Amino acid sequence: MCAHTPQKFQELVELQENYEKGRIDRETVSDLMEMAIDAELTKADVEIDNAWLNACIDLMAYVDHADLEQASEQHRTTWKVIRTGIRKERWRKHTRTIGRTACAVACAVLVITGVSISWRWFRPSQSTDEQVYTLTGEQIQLGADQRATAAQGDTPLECHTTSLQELCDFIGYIPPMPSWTPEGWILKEYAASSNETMQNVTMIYEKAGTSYILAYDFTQTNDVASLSTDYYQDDTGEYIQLRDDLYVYLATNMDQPCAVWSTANSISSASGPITQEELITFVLSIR
Amino acid sequence: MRKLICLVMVLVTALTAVVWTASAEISPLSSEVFHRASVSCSSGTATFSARVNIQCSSISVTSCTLQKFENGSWVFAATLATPESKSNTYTYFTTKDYSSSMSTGVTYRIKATFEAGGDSVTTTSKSFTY
Repeated sequence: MCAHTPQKFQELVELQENYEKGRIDRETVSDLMEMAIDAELTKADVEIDNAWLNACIDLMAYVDHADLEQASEQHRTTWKVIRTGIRKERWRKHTRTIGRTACAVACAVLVITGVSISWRWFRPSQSTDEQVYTLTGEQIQLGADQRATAAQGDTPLECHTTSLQELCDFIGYIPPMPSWTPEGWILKEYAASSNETMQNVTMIYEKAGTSYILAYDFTQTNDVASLSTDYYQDDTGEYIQLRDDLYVYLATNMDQPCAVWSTANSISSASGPITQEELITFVLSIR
Repeated sequence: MRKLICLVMVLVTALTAVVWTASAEISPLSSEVFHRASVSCSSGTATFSARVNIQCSSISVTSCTLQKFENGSWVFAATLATPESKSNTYTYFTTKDYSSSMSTGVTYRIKATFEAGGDSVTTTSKSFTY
């Protein structure tokens, strides 16, 4: 089972692309990685995602490549040790002084210039009894704080309809939606809710003879750092790559399959009393 | 013969106890009703959200507690008023302003229990500094 959020890795790829296209300089990428690594290392040892640490370190090594080319053999060896070791204390000792000074300088420059770089993702975790899968929003922000704030006493707006047009009018765009449902399942309603920071869209399908629903949930937020969602399950599930750009977490809840996946600022899920194959086809049809 | 009956009774009793204990340990805690639940807080306003797997006559938040981070651990800070319940629905989404229960600079989290269709789940927000 893969124990990381693929979206995080997609973010790394995008970061690398931005660096290669000259949109972000080496120091910034390096500092972002430094902060991501630092954030990871503040977790309990059992929660540390070594794959994620490796990826961050690899990207740091990549952007520092030019320097490393000219570096001494000892410097290169140090990199190898870091990349293969991934030991908390070792990493802390290695980066504490230089890394944090660089971070502070980078932050100061970004604050002074008013530039803001935000890096967001959802971190998965399992409860100790494996009955709850949680996606927790994480955000690293360099520069001006762009975090959304909820209006005081903010009253959410709600919409329950069977009209796609009404749903689109309510949320202001055409949401991703399934184009395929298993035989016998028909749309019961679209349910949408939103406030200043979050928007939920749920597409509910029903089938004669069953009280359980087949549903696709889509939650979008402009305040990733505050969101944490629990998904209930029978046991720890597994990650499966359904498409190049789509990794999903598959589990069961009361023997019914459910799928959960995320992007940098949204969480999606689908569940229902259908087979896992049908659920996968259902998820793959969501565009 | 009497000894044999006693032995059988002891074995049956012991086996029953073992089976009962084992079933208690492995009984699934996964929710038959709830698919997901969340509580989050931004600028003192909490957002409660949940989705159930079957239509429920009511979905509600039955308890809501504010905890603060003090001396390295989470301690009780306040009992919060629960938001309104929703009827005949599959989804629950509401917000409530708790800023009056919070002090600036303190790190909090909210613990909420959702109830629907005879099932309940408890979820905790991410920590936040007000």
